[in-house]
Amino acid sequence: MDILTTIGLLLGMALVTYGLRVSFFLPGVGERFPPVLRQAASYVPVAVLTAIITPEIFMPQGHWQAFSPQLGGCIATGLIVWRSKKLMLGIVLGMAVYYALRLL
Amino acid sequence: MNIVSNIELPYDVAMQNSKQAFKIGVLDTLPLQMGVAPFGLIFGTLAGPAGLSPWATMAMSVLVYAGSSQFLALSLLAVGAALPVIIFTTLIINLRHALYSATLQLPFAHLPFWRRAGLAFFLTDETFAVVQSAASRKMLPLDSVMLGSGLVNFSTWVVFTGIGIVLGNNIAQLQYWGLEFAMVATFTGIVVPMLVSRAQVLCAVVAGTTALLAHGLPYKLGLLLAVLLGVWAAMRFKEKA
Repeated sequence: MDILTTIGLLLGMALVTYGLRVSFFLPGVGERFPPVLRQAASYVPVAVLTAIITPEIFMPQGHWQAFSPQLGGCIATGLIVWRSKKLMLGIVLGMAVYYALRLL
Repeated sequence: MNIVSNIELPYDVAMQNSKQAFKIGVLDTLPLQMGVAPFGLIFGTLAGPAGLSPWATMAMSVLVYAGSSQFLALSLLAVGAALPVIIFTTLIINLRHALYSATLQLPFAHLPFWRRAGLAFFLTDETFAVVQSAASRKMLPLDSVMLGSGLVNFSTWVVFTGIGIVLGNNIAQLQYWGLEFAMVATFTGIVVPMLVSRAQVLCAVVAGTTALLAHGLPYKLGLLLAVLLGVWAAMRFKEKA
């Protein structure tokens, strides 16, 4: 990546993030967060994260694959976090399953 | 003499309180570093293979200081997403920070603007959680709690990004170790506990399916389409329910 693109990326991401954080601290912004946006914002993390992981799981090589080490690892992580509520444990064991399946 | 001490006393008490509050912010944030440190480390390690130079990686942790969107930027960079797509995705994923900002608007309304503007930089998930918990326990002043929490969390993020960069540059062929799966596992672990309502499950199904079907679109636009459709479906479902 060339230097201008890098700087554009850094500044763009920094400005957008800081802008959101400071938004309601700005003088004259008296409105509370609009309820519709608040509702929409509550779905965004699930939508974004799922949209990122599904291609990684089902198309790890760029084409459809019904079962992959990634899928195995994700199922392990998902089950562990769901049952134990321990994020780090789920990540570590999920990675172990992923590596085990890769070696097979 | 008497008059002077009368004037100074409230000031001393205020100083004492703000020192105490700063300490609470620091201490309450420490346990959360168990989560921040490994993510900083992984971020620093993966940034090189994704195409970021060491200085750009460090600058990103210092200037952007938002873990999930930084990870996202890496995975988008790795697949050659266009700059506007990465920045727009940052906006979407960090929308929740505006929510935090709205929540803290009233408690901080009495502060001078420059102080609010400075504190806003530290408004991460971790620090927001610490400030909210301090507020519910009536720990004041809240801005000192936030400063203490923010400085600890920011230092951890930056220091561990640095360690990750060094590791990534010194361990040969780290990019072939499949470490990027750590990111996928992390996102999975974050999503699963969020799937508590039918609307959230529907959101995940629609977004996930769209992401697969629209995978071929250029500039990673499929991701944005998936997010919009997922959120839209959940909102529609909520309306009817």
